[in-house]
Amino acid sequence: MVVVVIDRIEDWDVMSSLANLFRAPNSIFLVVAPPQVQARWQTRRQAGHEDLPPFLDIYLTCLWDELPQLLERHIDLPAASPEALALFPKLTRYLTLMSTGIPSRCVELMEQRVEMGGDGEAMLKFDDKAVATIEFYSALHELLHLNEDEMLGSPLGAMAAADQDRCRRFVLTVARDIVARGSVPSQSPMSALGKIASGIRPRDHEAIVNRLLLVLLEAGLFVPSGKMLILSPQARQEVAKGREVLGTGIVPRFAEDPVIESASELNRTMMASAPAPPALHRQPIGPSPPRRCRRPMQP
Amino acid sequence: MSKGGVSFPLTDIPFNLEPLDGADPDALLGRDGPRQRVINYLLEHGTGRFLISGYSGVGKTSLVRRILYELQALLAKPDERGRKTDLVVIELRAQALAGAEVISKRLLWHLKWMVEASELDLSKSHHTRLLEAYQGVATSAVEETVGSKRSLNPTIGINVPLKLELGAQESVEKTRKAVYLPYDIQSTLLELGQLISSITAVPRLSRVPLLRRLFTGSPARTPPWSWW
Repeated sequence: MVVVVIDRIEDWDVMSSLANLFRAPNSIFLVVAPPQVQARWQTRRQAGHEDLPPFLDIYLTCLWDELPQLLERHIDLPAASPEALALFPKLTRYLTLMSTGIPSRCVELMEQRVEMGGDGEAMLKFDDKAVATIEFYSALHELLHLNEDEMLGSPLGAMAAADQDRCRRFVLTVARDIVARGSVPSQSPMSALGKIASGIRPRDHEAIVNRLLLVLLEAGLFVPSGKMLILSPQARQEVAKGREVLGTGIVPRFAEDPVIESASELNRTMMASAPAPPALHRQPIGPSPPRRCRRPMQP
Repeated sequence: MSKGGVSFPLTDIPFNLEPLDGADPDALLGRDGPRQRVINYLLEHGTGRFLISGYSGVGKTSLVRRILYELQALLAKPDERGRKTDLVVIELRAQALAGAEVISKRLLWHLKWMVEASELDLSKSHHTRLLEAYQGVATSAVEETVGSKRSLNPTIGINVPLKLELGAQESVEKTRKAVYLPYDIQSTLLELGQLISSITAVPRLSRVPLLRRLFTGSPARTPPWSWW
């Protein structure tokens, strides 16, 4: 049995130009490619193009639910202190948000925190600022997870696996970006997106970003200030306890002296630009503390 | 929160940022479904094309290696007639190799090497077929370009650097000329496909040393040509 593995075909044109090779009878090809190649292939196939002979589509999803297992392989939980055990679920959520379900990125983030203890044993060490950062972004992840279907405009389970990953990664990356920026233009939030978020934009990405901002507004994480949405004073305090978005080198920036304007007016503007916004049932925007983010974490 | 922060003791499992080698059955998380799907399909049909996709770092290469590892173990077991099936893996890294033209040349190199390798346990008829296919794809182009003034086979046009035989100054020009020689890549790919099919039809393909070398993804000896 001869197996030909062609790893890391990054471009659809390269893949399609190998069609004559793939047509070899009785052969075995394992072709490894990024999602954009798979998406292009699917789109063209559905449009009736037969660029390639039949392939079995094996899409590897991001690891959204298996990351705790990955952490447990590396962390000796039975030997952990009560403080560490209490932080573990938050660390899992934090790493899920920061790695966006990519296991190698999760391992990389953990590796950056490895230190040698006094007895020569390796450990993951987080100082108080790092713990504060973990707690803040863990709460942010929980908030986003709770409102996932509403933000995406349709149940996640109804989407294809590749679309699910794209949407989830997009939401997490945008949320992380704008929290780290500390502000976002309310009329054109897309202009504030980072390179990564721009690269994984799903369909209806503008509507998704608008709904995401509504969620952040209603949770009290962001408040309107002129033509911008900025981190609320409470959220600024929370973020300020941390140092940086761990492992990313991003240091959150904050607008000075926020001017709170009419939230309802801003809401109307954003809702008008968002097609079919979902009904969100959360606390109204106001000076009250962000309840969801303050809610104690489930163990 | 304690004043000194929080520490997590670690197990002795090292952090690994490289793709897994496939040997550890438990190392690959959450991929049982795709792994089993590919293996079952291959065992049932003996052939197949698979597009394995996913975001960078999600474990695509690790999955492929695990599949090959398991496949090797399964094929190594004798069937009811006591026969074993050999597994030969040709692994190409397309990202480093750029376009289809280079991929085809790299593949050609692997196949050429396989044909030349004495470990191949081929019947005479298969060996003849392989040699014919190989000669149609490679031999004439390589030998004619390097060794003589005869024109290059226009179907193949492999870019053999002539500096092997010429002076340094002259070699640059000659090599550049070779790069622009006609190269009908689609014909080459068709022939390569036929060659792979021929090799696949060989009942007992290789001995272990060949398998090991191919399994590492790189030929046993480095190709002499600079553009690999």
